[in-house]
Amino acid sequence: MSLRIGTFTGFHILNNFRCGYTLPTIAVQVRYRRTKHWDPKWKPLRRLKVLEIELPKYNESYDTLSEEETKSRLKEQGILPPRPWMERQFHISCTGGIFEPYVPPEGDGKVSPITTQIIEFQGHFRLKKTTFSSLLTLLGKELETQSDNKGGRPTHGANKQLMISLWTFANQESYRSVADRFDVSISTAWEYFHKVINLLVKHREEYIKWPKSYLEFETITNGFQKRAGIAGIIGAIGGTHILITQPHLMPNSYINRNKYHSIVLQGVCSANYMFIDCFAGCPGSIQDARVLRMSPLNTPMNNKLISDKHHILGDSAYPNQGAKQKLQFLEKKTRTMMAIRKIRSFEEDFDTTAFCNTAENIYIKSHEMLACKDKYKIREFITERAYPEVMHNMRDKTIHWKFIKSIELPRIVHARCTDIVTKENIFAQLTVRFHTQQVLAIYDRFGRLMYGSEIIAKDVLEYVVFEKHLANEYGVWRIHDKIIPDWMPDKEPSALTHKRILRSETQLQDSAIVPIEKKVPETDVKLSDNAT
Amino acid sequence: MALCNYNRALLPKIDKFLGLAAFEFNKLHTSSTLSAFASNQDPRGWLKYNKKIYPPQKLGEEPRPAFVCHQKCNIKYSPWKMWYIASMVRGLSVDEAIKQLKFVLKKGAKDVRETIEEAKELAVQKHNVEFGSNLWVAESFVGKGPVIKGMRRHARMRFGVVEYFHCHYFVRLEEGSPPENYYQHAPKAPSEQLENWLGNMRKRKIINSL
Repeated sequence: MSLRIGTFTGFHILNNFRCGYTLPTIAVQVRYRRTKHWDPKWKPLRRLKVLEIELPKYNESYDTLSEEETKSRLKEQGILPPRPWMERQFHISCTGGIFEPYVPPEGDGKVSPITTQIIEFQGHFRLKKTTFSSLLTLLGKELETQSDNKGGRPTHGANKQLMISLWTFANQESYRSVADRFDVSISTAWEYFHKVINLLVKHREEYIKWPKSYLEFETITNGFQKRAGIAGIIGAIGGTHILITQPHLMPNSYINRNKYHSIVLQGVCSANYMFIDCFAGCPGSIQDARVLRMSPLNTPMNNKLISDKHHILGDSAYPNQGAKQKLQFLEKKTRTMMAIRKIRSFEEDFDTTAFCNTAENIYIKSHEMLACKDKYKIREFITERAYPEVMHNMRDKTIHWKFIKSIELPRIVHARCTDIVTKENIFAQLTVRFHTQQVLAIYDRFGRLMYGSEIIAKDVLEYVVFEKHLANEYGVWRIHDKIIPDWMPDKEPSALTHKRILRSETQLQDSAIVPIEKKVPETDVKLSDNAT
Repeated sequence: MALCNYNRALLPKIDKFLGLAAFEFNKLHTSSTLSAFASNQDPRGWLKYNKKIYPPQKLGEEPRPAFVCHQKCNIKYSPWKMWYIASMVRGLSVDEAIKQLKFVLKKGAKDVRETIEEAKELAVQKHNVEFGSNLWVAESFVGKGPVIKGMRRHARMRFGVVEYFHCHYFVRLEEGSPPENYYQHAPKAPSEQLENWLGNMRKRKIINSL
């Protein structure tokens, strides 16, 4: 090459030049070029040998340049500015959202084999299994000790004794059939029943007690406030009639409005369904309000407590009542009926049951189109509003979706009509409840399972909003949106690992000037709150 | 651009032949703004691999490693010089490659590093890779880009051509840890050498034997 590295000579020259200094023993590299003239006067001429050309700026992009720079680039190249670009027009024949969305009832659709078992137990004994077991631990010891030293057969287990008596409580069955059911003699069943009753009465005071301290009052009122948003409630009152055989003394006064002999049981319970007061014994013909007046709740001390700050919540049988909720519910129902009538005025043969079938068809078709990524045909089944939501992020995924069956038949839960811009331009929205069984598996670009499973079928409860442009002659029912209630449990997260941002970490990262709450997403803040 | 010029050339002829009023073709905007920027002829094939969708895997199957292809085009650097850098990072894990490239005192090292960093980010964002560090450089190579010709004066009215080379850099990152030996000609372990030798000795044909 034309370059030569004169390490050695360079070192010597430097040594001569700065003779006074003591140089460290570092070899300094000096380059000599043999192809250039030694005299620098030729330097400008040398530069002229190469014709300067402007290289194209390849890494310059349209997005990063400012408007003026773009203009100058266009001028340089002699290109005219682009014509105003018209986006391709498309027709939107749907509304932008849901009007008056349906509010699904809490805890809807919770059916599974496990819960059915529990429900079965609850149906027979009128108790939850957990309550039963706690009752068993409470009474177990006392039930199993043989009180009288009579000898004879040993008693049955506490479990069986309790079950026999609970069965007798819960079902209107004779001792004969109960005894037969549990395979004991009639007298034994009778004995167990009375034993348990006596024990329960003995323990009554520990559980059914009126709040005494201020703190207890506070906890109950807070509970009601949380549940219903009404302040100052210490209990909910209600009465029930307990069937009795006709008594000898004054039988007529025991006949209640339902024409049978009974005595009244009045109960007051707290926000978490626990009895705090119980009163029984009034004959059935007495009204609930009078029972309340007769009960020990009506003592002067309690009265003072109740009337001052706190209230007891009761239904219409008690004085000072309100039935706003019932009215609201009725109002909603009538509006749905009116909306359906409106739909009928456009679509004469509209039938709700027939529509449910078509809705299910549309639902299945749209999902199938999604699975096979047919972006043109899917537009027949979903509205333009739903399109971006449905198609988002599915370009490079493989979706396997299968509809297995409907657990419950789809039904219309909500219907609304609205006009847009003009009076005649009417859109209709129907909310259909689907409770179905489906299989969903989503694979990423490399065929690896991202979400769901090919084998496990899942129960899916969905409130799907269908929309139709009624005023349009060619309008069709299409999927518009889904209603996801707040109480719905969160979706199963994907298998990826996510980093949880803790508050302390972000504090370290951010300077103190920026408020942390603004930077960190809400959920993360909540998580860290729980952690700390 | 070409269309515009063509129109302009056509204009007087049309006027002559048809006797039309000045039909101003040059006021029709037919070129797009992007043609003012010379980056329309980038290689396209390499990025197409990013769009390929593989069939779903069965339950027990070993998961297919994810990969991401990325490129940087028209780097003003010699493709022959870039080759050294590109082959240096082959078979390294991403973090190792990025770390080592920081210490390579060549102009192209910066572009290579940037490309790998971009690819790493892309993998996490778009290609379902869980951890960005769990990637290795499976492929890394250089393509020759456009060559701009310049001129240079010589003595006696002669001239020479100066070539301004550009290059493209291509990289493919794959999920997982890098293989022990990327290249085939890895030195063999002593035990393996011995085994080979023994095998060869036993395989040899002894002439005139049984």
